Amino acid sequence: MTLDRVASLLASIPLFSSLDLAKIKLLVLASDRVQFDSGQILCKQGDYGDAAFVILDGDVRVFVSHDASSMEVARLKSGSIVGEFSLLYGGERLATVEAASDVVDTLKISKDDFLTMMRDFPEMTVVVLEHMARSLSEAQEALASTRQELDDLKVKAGHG
Amino acid sequence: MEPRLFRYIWKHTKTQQLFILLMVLCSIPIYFVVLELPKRIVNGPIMGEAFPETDSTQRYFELTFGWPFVGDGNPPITLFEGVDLTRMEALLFLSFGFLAFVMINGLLKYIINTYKGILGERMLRRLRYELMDTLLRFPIRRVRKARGSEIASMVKDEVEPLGGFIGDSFALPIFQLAQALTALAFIMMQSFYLGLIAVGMIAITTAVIPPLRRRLITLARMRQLTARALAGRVGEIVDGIEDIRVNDTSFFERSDLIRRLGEIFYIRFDIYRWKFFVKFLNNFLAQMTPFLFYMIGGFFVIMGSLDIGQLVAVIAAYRDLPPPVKEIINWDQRRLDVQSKYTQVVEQFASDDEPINFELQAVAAECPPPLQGKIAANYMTIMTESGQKLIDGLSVSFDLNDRVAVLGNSSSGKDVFVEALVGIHAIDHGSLVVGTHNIETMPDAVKGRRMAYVSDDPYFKRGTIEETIAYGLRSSIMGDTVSRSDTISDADKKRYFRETQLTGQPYFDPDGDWTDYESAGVADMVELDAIILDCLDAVGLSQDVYEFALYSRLDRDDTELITSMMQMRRAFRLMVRDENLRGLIEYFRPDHYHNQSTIFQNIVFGSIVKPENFDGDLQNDPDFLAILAMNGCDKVLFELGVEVSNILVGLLGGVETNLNLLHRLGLMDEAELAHYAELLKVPADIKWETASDEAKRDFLIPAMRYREPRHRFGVLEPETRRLIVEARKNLRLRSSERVREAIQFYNPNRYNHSENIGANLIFGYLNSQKADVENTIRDLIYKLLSDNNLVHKLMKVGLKKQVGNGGQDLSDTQRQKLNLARALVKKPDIIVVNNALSHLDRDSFSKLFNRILDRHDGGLVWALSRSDISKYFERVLKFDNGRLIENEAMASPGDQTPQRERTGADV
Repeated sequence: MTLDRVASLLASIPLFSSLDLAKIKLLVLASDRVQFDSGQILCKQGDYGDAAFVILDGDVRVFVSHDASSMEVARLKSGSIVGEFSLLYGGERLATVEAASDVVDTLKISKDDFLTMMRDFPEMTVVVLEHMARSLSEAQEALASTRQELDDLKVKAGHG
Repeated sequence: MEPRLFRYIWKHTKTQQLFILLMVLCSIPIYFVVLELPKRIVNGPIMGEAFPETDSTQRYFELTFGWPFVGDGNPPITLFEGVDLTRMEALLFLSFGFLAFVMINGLLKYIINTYKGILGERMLRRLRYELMDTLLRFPIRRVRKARGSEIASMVKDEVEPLGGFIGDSFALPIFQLAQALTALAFIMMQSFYLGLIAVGMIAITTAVIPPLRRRLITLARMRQLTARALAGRVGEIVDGIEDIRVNDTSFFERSDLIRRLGEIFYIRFDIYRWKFFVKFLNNFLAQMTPFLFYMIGGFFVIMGSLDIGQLVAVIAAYRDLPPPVKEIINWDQRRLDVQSKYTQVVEQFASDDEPINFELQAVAAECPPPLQGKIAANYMTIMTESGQKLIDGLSVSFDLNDRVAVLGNSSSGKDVFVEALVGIHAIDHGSLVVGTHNIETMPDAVKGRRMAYVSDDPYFKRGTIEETIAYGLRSSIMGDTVSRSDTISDADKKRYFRETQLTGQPYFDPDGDWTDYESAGVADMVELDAIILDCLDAVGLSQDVYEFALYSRLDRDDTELITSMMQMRRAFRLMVRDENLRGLIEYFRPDHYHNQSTIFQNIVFGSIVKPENFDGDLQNDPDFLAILAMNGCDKVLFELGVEVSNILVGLLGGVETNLNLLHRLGLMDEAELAHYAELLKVPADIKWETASDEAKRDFLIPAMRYREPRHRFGVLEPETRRLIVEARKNLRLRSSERVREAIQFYNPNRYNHSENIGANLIFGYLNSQKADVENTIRDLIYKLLSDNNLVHKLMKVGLKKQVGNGGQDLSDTQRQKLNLARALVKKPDIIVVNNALSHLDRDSFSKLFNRILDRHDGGLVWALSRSDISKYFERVLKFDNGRLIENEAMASPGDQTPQRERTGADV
């Protein structure tokens, strides 16, 4: 995939849609294209995060593990970005991301480049914020419904 | 060492000095003949006074002796009647005689001078060896106090003038003195009083000059000390260069250097003034004598009490007096200089307060018996020079085979205790006994072969890993002392041996076999290598050594391994194919464009082995450019260069260039970006047909650096690739000899000696776009090599890696592990570890510890800075402030020690 094609692909992703094509090209130029085979790990929960991945082609699965159990929490398609959370607060990966299709084509954006972009283009920051807020709200909804289910179970157990 | 120079010289060279004197005396009559013969030739055959007629003859070489006391009445004894020669015969005879004596005289001079030179060098060699020999025997504490560069300056430079002086030390003054006395005696014979004047003047000279010289001696000593201190400072600056640079104290250091250089200058300045003043005075006193002769002698002649003939004879005789006196004075000047230097140096190497115990380093032919018994300190106190107690009245005793942890903080004295165990410290009070030896009198042979010491900052001399480990086994030369080196002939070896004996040194051949295989429990180097690898495995260095091997180049003579590696190259490809990993590597294929390489690499397609063949670099070489022009590749690449420049300038040529990104791309630097931006503005220069030569050359540069998977400009058309591969072939087949022999072209069927082993196995580049490619391939290669039993062989190659100056090519941990492996190899009775490897985490330490115990069942004393790993030991000693505050025998360490089973993982 040439620079132009990757750039136009990126331009079609909401996160980057506010940037002009020249800036996107710079970002692409600065980043590495990395291909993962099915089952290979893009990032691992608990590791230090130093880059985010934009999925250019293929699917990935997101797992969150707690104690010994591990649960798939999302399945993401091309055009998604993964691993940006840890870049923003400079910590550990919150989830494990695994390649789900035969070949997953990604663009690996380093922490420095990502943060420079955010600083230079507030429009992009807004999109990232929206994305994070949506994730948070989804998580809250999930938490609320889980809590509801848990309460229901407790009630049932109390009656039983 | 002998404190007086002359005694030292006389002790070692008296026979040679007498020989020189004899030779000098022999040369005198010959020299006299050389001076005499020309006179005879001129007066005899040339002037012809003795040959009144053309056929008259003259008798030559008649040898007769008259009787000394009863000669008057008796006829003289004739030894040789002589020969009668005509004038022409006499001329030829005398002339050839002259030539012969000139040659003999020259030959004698040559022999004497060479002999003097050799004698001086031998003494110098002896002296230097004695100095270094003494240094090697010094108590460690004393060596630590010295500056290496000062010692080097003493051993190398300060004793140097001695070499030139030693040959002249006895013969010259005797010879010159004899000449001077002869002249003086002649003067005395002519006129007793005038003789007295000459004697008087010499007496005044000898009375006045020496006190003036004393000042010169002091100055010479000052100069020597200042120069030595300068050498010390230079050494210090080299050692501390990091601190100087990071603290920006270079000017502070410069100021110190400037002052020191100034001091040397002023001392020299004083020396010159005094030296030439003394010389002036000397000359003046020497000229006083003829002045007195003229005046007083003339007075007596006028008064009629001295015969004029006598005065003329005295003055003539006096002409012979000053040259020898001058020589003696010069000699004396040199004597003062070297005497002062010698004393200065010897004083540094001799000290009464710490006498050297020569017994400690006696040559031990046999390996000393094992140490047995206990380690016991009896009220042992160790102090600093200023009297601060490092260990204060320590009394402790434990079995020599115990595994002992020594704990405490950095100033607790625990380090001093373990250092004392191997004799690094002098013990001020009390004693420390190891087995049956008091540590202060334990011979080095016992220490070196029955004990091992592992410090946390070992110093390794230059050499390979293998040599570094085997170093611990090199206490004395094994078997015969004949050198293994093939470069020296037997005759030369004998000569070296004889010469070494002449200078009183023991003959140890450093090329001989020094390795004590017996101590290591092996028969030869091959078996030792196996033990070494085993010990490296024990300390967790195997993986490192294996990787050193992959990154090292194979010896051209190692055809067996080269063949194996070529087989492995093919096997690796099959393995990659079978494992379905082909996408991870792009192999070098001579007929295909190589995407992971730049265009330049694609054209060269090999390693440049002789860069000196090109004036500048290959890319601008006219022959290389001609190859590009051959198939029109130059035009295509020019256009590609224009396109690449255009894209890059468009993206990055803005006001604020993203320098970081620019550097990462590697296509052009900041200055070049600006240059190409300007170049692109000239319409003529971006079209091949109209472009200037300079533009053609310039646009080729970014094209050559272009690599599609990295830059992804999509500018590399299939036709361009085809042309590049064609240019590659042309370069290989049709370029000049000079270019071709500078490149080792990639050949799938040939081992490339200019690349390392790993690169030869892969023979291609990894696909950088594939995730985790390095680890996958690394594991694959390891599997391949271990399946084929080659890991071991390769590790032997890894053993040949150089450790660098002082071991600086290794990491701290690697150095400490290597040091521990060195200790294990020699199978000592006790290993003393000073803080090494105690930074490892608990799990790693436990694995390491168990593997050490697998190989070593003797004693182990380990100074640790952490208490959590002390539980593996049988005894824990805890120090604080120089005192032992805890001495605890662990109940049963076996329970606490994790299972002593072998684990494969590395530490």
